[in-house]
Amino acid sequence: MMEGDTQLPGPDSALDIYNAQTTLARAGLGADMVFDLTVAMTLAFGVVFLGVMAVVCLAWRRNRPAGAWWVWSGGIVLPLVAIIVLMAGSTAVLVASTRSAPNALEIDITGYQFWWDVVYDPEGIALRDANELVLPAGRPVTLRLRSADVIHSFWIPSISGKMDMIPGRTNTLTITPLETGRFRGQCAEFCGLSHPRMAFEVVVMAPDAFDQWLAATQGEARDAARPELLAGRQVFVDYGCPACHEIRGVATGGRLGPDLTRVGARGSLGAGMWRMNQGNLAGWIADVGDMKPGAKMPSYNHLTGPELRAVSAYLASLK
Amino acid sequence: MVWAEDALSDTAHWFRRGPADGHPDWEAAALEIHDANPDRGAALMIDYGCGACHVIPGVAGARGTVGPQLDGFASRAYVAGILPNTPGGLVRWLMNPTTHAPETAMPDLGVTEPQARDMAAYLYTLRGG
Amino acid sequence: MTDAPFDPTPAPPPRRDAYDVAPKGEPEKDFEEVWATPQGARVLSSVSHRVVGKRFLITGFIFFLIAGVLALLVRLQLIVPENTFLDSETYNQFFTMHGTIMMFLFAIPMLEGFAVYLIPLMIGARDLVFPRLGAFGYYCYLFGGIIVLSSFIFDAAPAGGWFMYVPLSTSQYTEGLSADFWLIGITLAEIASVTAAVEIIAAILCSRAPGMSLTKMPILMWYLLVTAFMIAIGFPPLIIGSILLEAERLLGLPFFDPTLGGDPLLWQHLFWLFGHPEVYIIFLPAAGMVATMLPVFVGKPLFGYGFAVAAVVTMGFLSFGLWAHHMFATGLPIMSLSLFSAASTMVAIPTGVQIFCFIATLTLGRPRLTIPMYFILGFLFIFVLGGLTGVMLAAVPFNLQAHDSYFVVAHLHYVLIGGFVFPMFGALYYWVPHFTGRMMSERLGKWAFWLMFSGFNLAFFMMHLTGLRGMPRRIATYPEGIGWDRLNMLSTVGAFILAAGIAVFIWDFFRHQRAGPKAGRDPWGAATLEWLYRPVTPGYNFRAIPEIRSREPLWDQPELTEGPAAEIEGALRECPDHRRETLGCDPVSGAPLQILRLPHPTWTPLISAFGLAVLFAATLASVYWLSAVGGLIALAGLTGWVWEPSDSGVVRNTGIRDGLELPVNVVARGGHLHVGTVGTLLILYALFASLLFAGLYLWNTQPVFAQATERPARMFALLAFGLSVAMFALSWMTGRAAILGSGQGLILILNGLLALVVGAVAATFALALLPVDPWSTAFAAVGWAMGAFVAALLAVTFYWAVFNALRKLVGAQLEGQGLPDLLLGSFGKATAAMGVVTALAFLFAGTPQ
Repeated sequence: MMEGDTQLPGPDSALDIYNAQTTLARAGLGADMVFDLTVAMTLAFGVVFLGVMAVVCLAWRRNRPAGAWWVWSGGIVLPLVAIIVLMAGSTAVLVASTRSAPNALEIDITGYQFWWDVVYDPEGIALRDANELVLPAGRPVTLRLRSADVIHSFWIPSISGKMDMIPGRTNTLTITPLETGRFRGQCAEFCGLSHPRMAFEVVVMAPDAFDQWLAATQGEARDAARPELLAGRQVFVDYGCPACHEIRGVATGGRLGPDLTRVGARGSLGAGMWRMNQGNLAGWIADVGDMKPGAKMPSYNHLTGPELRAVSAYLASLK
Repeated sequence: MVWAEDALSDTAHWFRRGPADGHPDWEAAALEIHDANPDRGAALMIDYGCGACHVIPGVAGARGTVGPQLDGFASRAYVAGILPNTPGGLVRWLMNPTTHAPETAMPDLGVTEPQARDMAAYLYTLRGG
Repeated sequence: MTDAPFDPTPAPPPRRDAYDVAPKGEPEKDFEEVWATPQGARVLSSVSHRVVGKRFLITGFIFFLIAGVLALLVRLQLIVPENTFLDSETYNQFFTMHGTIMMFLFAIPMLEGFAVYLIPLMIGARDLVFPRLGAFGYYCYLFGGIIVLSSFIFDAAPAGGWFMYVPLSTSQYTEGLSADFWLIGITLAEIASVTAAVEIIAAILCSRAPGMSLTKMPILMWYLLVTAFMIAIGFPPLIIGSILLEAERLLGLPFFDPTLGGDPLLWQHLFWLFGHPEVYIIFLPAAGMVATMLPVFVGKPLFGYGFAVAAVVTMGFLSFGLWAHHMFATGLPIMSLSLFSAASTMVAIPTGVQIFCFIATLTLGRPRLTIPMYFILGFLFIFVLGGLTGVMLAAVPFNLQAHDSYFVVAHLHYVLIGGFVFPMFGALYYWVPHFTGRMMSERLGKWAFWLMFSGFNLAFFMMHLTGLRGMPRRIATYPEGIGWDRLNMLSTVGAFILAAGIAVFIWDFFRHQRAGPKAGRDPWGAATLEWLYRPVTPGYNFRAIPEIRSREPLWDQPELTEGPAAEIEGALRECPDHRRETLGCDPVSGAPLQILRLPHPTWTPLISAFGLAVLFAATLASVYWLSAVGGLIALAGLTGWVWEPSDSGVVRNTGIRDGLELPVNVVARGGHLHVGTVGTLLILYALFASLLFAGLYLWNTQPVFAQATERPARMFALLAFGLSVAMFALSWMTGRAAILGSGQGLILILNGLLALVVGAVAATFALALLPVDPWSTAFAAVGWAMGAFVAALLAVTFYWAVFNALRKLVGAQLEGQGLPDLLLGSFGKATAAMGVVTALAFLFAGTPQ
């Protein structure tokens, strides 16, 4: 189980962080390089833009007719030079930022309408989780991106550029987080009704903390310590939740919905949309169709009050 | 634009304060909670996820339909049909709903008393339409 | 398109007197009456380009307002985070319909409207060469637009984005009819685009005033000509894509299903093969209008006409080589990424050339700051900025961050609003006197401009920042406090300011029709022929068609501006046959070539379009017997349309160049009907190539499935190959015999043989495909689609051959009137060529089993 010492200081949800999802960040290798490219292009093209506007003003006031060299220099030479410089720069960034690393950590991520299935080290420990991505800082990570239904696009703006998840294909994206902290990722390809509610949390830890976390998270779910939590676990099993959801040590095999083994430890609920707490969990279970239209999960509004409280308390305790 | 919203809500508040003849508004005074901060209360309600079950005007994303809507809360007679809608009753309810209504679906969220006072203060800013 | 330089005074064909019997026109009417627009409800039968052009413009503008209101509702939803103004479904419908209407039902029809209205006026023709086609296109567009819009009434508005990506838009993930409304309605509306392409190509190439060589055309004609070719090649991939997707939805054919060897990316390739040229199709005519207006307000000819023409042609070619920059994030190999990235940036060069031609033009004189000029300057400001962000987006690493974020939303609105909407408003202010005879207000124009300009920049500049701050597109709601709140509020405020500017324009438009000052002759001091008459120009455009010696005729040819416009010397002042006529020219030199007989008002375009609309709408509603009825109505309308007796064979005096005599509707490859046929064939080839592309693409990306696909029956494929070659030879002979003016009997036999061979080709293709199960793999389905496409063309060839034979038998087509057979020959050759390629594909694709 996740221990207190691997918990990050600061806010415990990316939703509490201003600019948790900006491309103007240096939290990953790709974002870092593109940040520089963005600034360089903005400055250069800003100068070009002001220059062209200045030429318009000049032309407006000028009495002497322009020569053909205006078109040659402004219309052909200027763009050509800009293009060559830009292509050189962007190709260098492209090659550097997409370089694959041979012994990178591998993570399989599958997009569903409207959540993310995550499997760490699929050929090894195959640790399954959902809607939150925990990464080691400074280590390259190869993401294998797939889709189970429609096209999604995987994007953590603060760390790296995006990559589509396309049915029938496996796209790989190598990213290298540089800074520890919490970030927010989001689906960038329109994927249906709740496309705006398909985000995820990203937690970047120091490498040794990450290793500890990975080792600690592999086991079974935290045990139900109080009578209320025991009752909640019973509700979870009795109402058929395991048909879709897995909680290791309680019920395995459910793969249609997110893995819930450590659901309470996630920064947010409903794929990066609401802060993780018992209140939101209770509301979610009772009326998921309202919180996330188009989600496959039915609303469990036939639970009694105590049952709803128990199951939400139990899920919140799975840290 | 936050300042614009503030200015708007202040104006609305002033307008609703009632007759300008100087008579004290006893009803409003009865719902006054000393030392509580309604703004902090609104932020706390986001953190506790109240909006997953309730519609709470002014709280971002609070449009749940699991529990009752909380608009116009200040003019309700009872809290959850159980406790009289006074500051004391509301604060106690927010901290331990299950003590007062064992069958309720509203969980005990571990709200502390100062937090509950802030949240109650916010709910009392929600007057009838 | 032309064989040899055409001799402008051909030897009169033999036995010409035989055709000079009774005039087929309306002998009771004089010239003006012949050209008069019918009154009352009969105005719907009008085919005049002036009427049809205005209809396109007004309908397009109404769709612009509808889509604009949708945009405002979208902006209202995003004004604050977690807003509940619109639910997700409604929001998705609104942004989908906003994009769809703006792209398909506003931008393209609007440019078609300008083209249809202006082309004849600017090149010295009395109407377009195919007026009925223009009217038909308009009705298809109107009915298609109504179908798309009616989805709101049935609560089935498309919600899958204007790009309709699969598999989200397949029946598995989009149940109900919403996607079908989109596919069927838009395909019907697209018919207007491709007919307009044929119309524009043939009109510009074949009906210019005497002496107007290609290099003396107004610059807008070049822009429109290139645009028309781009439409002819660019729209077919989408039409094919839409048909394949509709077939997948309706029949379950697995074109895009990866489990059966299809590929979701195939849709994206087809869509963007259309979608990227589309952007230039929208931009180029607008740039052409800028290039038309700017010199007027500077008072000097456009700087660098040759530069601009070269740039436009280059852009036309380049635009087809960079579609994949919409797909950088789909996991293309790094080599393709770099190539498409480099190709994308190359567009900056022809764009830069045009912009600098415009800027250099400003130096030539003292520019006048009129309202159209405000919009031109606004265009320069906004479009240059949008172009630069476009170059940024061509850089792959940046694109991977900015793609599908609000940065792209900002970029595309800068390019499309800057590159199309601002020039369009400038053009409306500029040409409105031509429509209404009155001038719009300068003062209100300035209000409209400044509101639009400031609102636009406020709304969309912020979106660059919103996008860089990580906000994805197409999200109905966003969380509070992660950095997007205020930027979105500013964008919404800006959007409403922009809308206020447009409202001022509309108010002024209605106001000026009553209160605006009357426009004088050539109110702006323009140089092009549409200002020859004092507005409003009479319906025939030119009482006599003047000789053109300059690119700026109204500036350089004093005889055009001195006397009353109706008394200017020129061709076809006489109207001996009481027919609508205009002068046809050699496509390149502009030398007079023929007299074009133009149709009078007729209901056939409306009937045909109505039949098609019934066919499409009934298919949408799955009422297939009604589809058949609609198809029959359309076929009857089209048959009535083309049935009229042939006009060629007559020779008439044109009244210019000392009594130059020209044939009516000449039987030659440079004639307007043959040029139009070639334009149509270009579209058909592009459609076929799109299918071929689909097959090759699947073969390349899904080789396992391609190999598992059953090969068509070899013997029948071989037979189809041989018969297609024979069909080609017969078609060639038919065309040749028509040009040589061979005897009726010979051509009749050729018609009959052709019909027979066509039937045989169709039968062998069917037998070849029989063992292949189209539901087995996507590859097999594409094979069937190719077969179906060729079968459709064969059916047309068959119908056409029988039709020509019948016309000869009843005497509607006499000896020497070979035009219908010349066209049939060219069409047959193209069909046969596609048959040959299809047969070859059937011989080698798949695996024998």
